[in-house]
Amino acid sequence: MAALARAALRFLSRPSYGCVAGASFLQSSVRPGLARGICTASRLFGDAGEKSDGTLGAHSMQEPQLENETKEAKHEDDGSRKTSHSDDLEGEAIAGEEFEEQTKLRVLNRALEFVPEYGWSMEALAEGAEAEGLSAAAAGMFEQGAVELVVHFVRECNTQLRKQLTEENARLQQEQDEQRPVEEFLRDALESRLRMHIPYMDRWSQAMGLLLTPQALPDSVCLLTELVDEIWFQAGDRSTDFNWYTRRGLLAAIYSATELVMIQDSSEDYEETWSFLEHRLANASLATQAASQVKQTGESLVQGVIGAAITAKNLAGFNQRN
Amino acid sequence: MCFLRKARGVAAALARRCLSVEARKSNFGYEVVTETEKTNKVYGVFQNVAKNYDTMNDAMSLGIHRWWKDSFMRLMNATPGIRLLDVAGGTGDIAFRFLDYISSKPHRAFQKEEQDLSWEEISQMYEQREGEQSIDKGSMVVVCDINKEMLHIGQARARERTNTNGLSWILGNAEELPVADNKFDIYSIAFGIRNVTDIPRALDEAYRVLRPGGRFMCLEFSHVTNPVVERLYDIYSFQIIPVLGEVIAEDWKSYQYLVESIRLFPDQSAKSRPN
Repeated sequence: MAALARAALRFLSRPSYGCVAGASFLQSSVRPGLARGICTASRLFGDAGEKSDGTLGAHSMQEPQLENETKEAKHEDDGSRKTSHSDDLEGEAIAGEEFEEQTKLRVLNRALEFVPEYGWSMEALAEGAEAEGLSAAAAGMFEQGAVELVVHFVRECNTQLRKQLTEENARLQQEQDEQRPVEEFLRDALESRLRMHIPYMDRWSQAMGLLLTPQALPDSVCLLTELVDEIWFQAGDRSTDFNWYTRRGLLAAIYSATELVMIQDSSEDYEETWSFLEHRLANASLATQAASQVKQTGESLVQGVIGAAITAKNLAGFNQRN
Repeated sequence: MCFLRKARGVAAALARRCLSVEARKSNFGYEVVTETEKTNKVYGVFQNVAKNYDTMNDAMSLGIHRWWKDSFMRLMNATPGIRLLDVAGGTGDIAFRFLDYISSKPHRAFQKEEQDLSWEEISQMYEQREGEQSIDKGSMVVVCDINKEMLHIGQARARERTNTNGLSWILGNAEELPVADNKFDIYSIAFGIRNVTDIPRALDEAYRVLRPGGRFMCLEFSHVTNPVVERLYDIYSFQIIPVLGEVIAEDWKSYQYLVESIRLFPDQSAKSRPN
């Protein structure tokens, strides 16, 4: 019951869904939606680029890949027979697509085991395919090759983090415990997320490089924004003004910096990385305090200037009524 | 008694098959012929053009066919250990490119990796690499062609190359490959499938010889989408190419067949629909 209420609250208070109670309704429904819009647009742009590369003029290269029609698929398709021929074809096409998705996931998950040895590369994917019982050529399913492997891994890490944080919050809710201070929560969330890289630490710089290539950029930007959004949401952030952006932007910057530090960290259990993380978080909260102070000072300054202007007008005689 | 009955049954089936094959029509360019005639005529075409095949490819496509085949290789993105069957690959363009691609892989991987080794470690690595071949992992390529002349040309070209480890040549028909089941990782057919008389059979054979998870790759001419370019392409195909054929290879008709068969091959959307 509590979980349902939480889910409903989450749905309603997510700025991007545009339904927030309060005076800032219009503001929040337009601006946070912009972030999602940018994310989707960058994804679409990336897709359009890929599609236009696929069709050339005087010739076309075909690869009707036989994974869709391998022997296992034939058995599966028998279950989805419908009456008319076109329905048959459609049913087969859908079953074939699902089968392809499942096969891709299987190969990707298996390929992660080979990353420490072969790096984030087509070789790792080929070994993964072989380990799954398919031909090494099945790695050709991944047109973007190693990039798809890295993106898949990052997505899996984010999903795992989400599960972890949700469970933790549910547990805290049940036990009626005090909510932890935000800074501590952020620190723990980022630490557990970064710890997921440890098995692949030797090759992580290669992965970071791959995430910055043009093919991967839309996806990697989206994954990063989803990550920081998730962490802030779980930390209890329900802001509906510009803070929404500042907080996520700050956290993304901290996460990226800490990731870089972690790559070249050789201390015991990455202690230096975690202390770096703590310091950056402390700096960040100081910065937000300073920013709000500056804002207050600024406001009072402006008021002072207006007062001085009115006084000057009075003195000069402009405000007299004759 | 039993044997005689069986033999009669087999003979009857053969006769029926022969008759039905005779009756089935196929296209040889714009000419409508029977299927056996098509097979023979196509054989004749390639027998005539074999000697000038590569020169003509360069002349007709202005050298762009090399670009297409290089892209094909990049799309294939083979890793060491892959077994390729190149069907209708007579003069060996795809097979040679495959061998080059495979042997260049370790070099490329090395360049990306360790940047700060000591000079002793680097020289050790060079010594190691001379010894190891990706053939140790089992890479091989088999070139299959129905036409002996084309295979001879390919073999002559192979003799001029330094690296031919893992390369072999077989004479065979795409509709009836002399290969066992589940043997190959990649089946490629570059500019060959439109010359096959019974394409569905060739596809069935491809399915048969490929391992589960294997890849079917087909490089073929298709239709031009842009109408302006299409007009220019038509003029080029029908006015210039056969003339080139006559001048360089002294064979107008073979190149007439070539451009006609390109026009008749299904376009991109028809090819990608399952049937």
